Amino acid sequence: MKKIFAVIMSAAVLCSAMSAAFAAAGELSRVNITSPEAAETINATYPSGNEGTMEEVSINALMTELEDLTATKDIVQEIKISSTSATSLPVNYWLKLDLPEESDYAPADTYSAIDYYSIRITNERGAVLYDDATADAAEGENTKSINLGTLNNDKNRSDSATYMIYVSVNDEVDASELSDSPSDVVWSIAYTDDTAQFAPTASPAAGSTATPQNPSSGSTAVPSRATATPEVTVRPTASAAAKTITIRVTTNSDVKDSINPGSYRLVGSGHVVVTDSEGSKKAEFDLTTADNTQSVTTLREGDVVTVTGNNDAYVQFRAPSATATPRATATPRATTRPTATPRATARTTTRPTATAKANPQTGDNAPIIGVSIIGTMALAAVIYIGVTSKKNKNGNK
Amino acid sequence: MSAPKRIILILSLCIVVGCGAYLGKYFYDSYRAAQDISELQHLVEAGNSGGSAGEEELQGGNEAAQDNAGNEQAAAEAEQYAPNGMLQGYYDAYQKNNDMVGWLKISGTKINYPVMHRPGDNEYYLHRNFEKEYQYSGLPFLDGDCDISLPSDNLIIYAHNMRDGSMFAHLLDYEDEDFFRENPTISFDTNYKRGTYAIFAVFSTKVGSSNEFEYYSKTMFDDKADFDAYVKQALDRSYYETYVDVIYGDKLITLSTCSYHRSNERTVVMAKKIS
Repeated sequence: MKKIFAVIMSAAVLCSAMSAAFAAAGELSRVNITSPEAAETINATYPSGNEGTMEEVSINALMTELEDLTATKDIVQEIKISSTSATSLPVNYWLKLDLPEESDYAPADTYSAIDYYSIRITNERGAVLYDDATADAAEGENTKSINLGTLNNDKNRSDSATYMIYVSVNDEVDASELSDSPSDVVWSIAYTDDTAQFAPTASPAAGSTATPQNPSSGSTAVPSRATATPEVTVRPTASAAAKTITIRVTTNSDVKDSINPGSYRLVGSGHVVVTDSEGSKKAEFDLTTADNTQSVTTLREGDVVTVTGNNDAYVQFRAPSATATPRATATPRATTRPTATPRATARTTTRPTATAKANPQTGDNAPIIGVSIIGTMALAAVIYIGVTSKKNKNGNK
Repeated sequence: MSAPKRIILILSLCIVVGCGAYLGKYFYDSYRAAQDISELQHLVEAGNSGGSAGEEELQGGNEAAQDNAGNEQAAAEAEQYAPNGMLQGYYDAYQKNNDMVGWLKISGTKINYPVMHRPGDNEYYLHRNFEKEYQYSGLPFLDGDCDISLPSDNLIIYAHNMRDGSMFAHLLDYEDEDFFRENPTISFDTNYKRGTYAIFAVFSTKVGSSNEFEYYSKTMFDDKADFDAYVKQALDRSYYETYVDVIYGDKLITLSTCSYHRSNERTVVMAKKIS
């Protein structure tokens, strides 16, 4: 009897230890960052609920489109952040740009290599999260932090968000006069679940500016708490000048501002009218940054897509499914992009068209049968050992 | 008891406890999911029958009008609507989660669920419940390429085939022709309007195989030829003849779930809108 009791207690202790190990392991939150244009995946874990700590991970390996950035060609890099919060705490995220470790930066510099890049970030629904053109971010700094918002906000352990990072060359910066090469700038994602200490600033909206709170000052170790009080300057709202964007649907690549026939998800800002080759209206709907209306539309040869709106009007033709893998890089087509003050020239961005689409895995992969069989076998072993031990004991008596 | 026996006993006890905990959690989660869905069903039914937070009173003759399946106009007039035009019951649910775009019900099965949608996203509701919390069984969701407001030519809805019989597990009942004869229609309502669809094809296809039918790639059809080719593929693969005519211009609905006959196989039920 004593032996059986000792065995049961040992088993209980072992199970508790295993549970504690699992629980301890479960206190690690995880970040997974991917880009459809890059082969690599960035994975990181960090202890959940660690006060006063901000983590950071470099995403230079994902910023593959930067290689194609030139003074006349903008790029867009899509990144997806998947966030698992072990204790369901909300997690704040930032995109950070830092100068390289071996930097020749001097505080007196008018511009640093970071200023070479003019950045605009939208979420997957096309809402503008950040725009250098209106943010009035400080120049000549050795670090730059752009708030990407908060994930795991609904106390859910798993959450994700997709960001479109539009990068263009800042016209005001002469790269030859910079202390560092722009290609040496370190792009990273900073994150923390200590949202009390590291509160995100509100994304600067068009027409207003705010100095972003820097969650760190160039160090990747435990950073100091942000103390600067943001200055908020409200600029007069730009008058809503009418703007019309016309995109023709054609396989003829010589036609400017055109796109191949196919199915697209239209995102952006403005009022969309799609007409066919005879001028008959096929579809009409609104795209707004506030309401993030999206629509999947099939465009055929000869169709014309007209977007009208204010100066911020724009349209993107995106792959119907954001989760399509693999993505093929088709011949780039130009899409017009709005130019915010003070830019005067329209820039073009290229957008690959996705081809493959995955069929969601809708099976129940829980190994119920396997677990039941194993559990039954283990129970049988317990009973057998218990019975034979008792028999042996009775036999010895 | 010898030392090896003791070790085996301890290990076996741990395994029994572990397996018991896993199975207990699985069935408890299943029970909770069913409870949550049941509450949602009651909320929707109460709202649509006039006894909800909308505080609409039942109109006289409401039940009689709804019993008369052929009298669509009377049924429409007897519906309860929220101020924004949504059917009241769906509006009540929509206020809890505005990713809900409709409701799917198939008589003769347990399929009676909200349909969720996030544009461009075919993963979010694979493992999330109506409260957007993690739940393995997830919820039926509309393909991210679809647009409920256009609407798309082909609404594709996915859901898990759960071993506890929930979600789209009962879709596989349609592999039996007798079951189809008894339950030839699907009810899919958007938040604003009722909809009934007649099933015209039931088939299975193995994803990634050389003769795979990529039924999930088409939410809009370019032209009649494109539509006819798509429907022909479905009809050719169908387990049985349904004698339902499908012509260009018909709005389609496609229900998809995993089947366990072969690895990576899907069972698909296609229907066309009739009202």
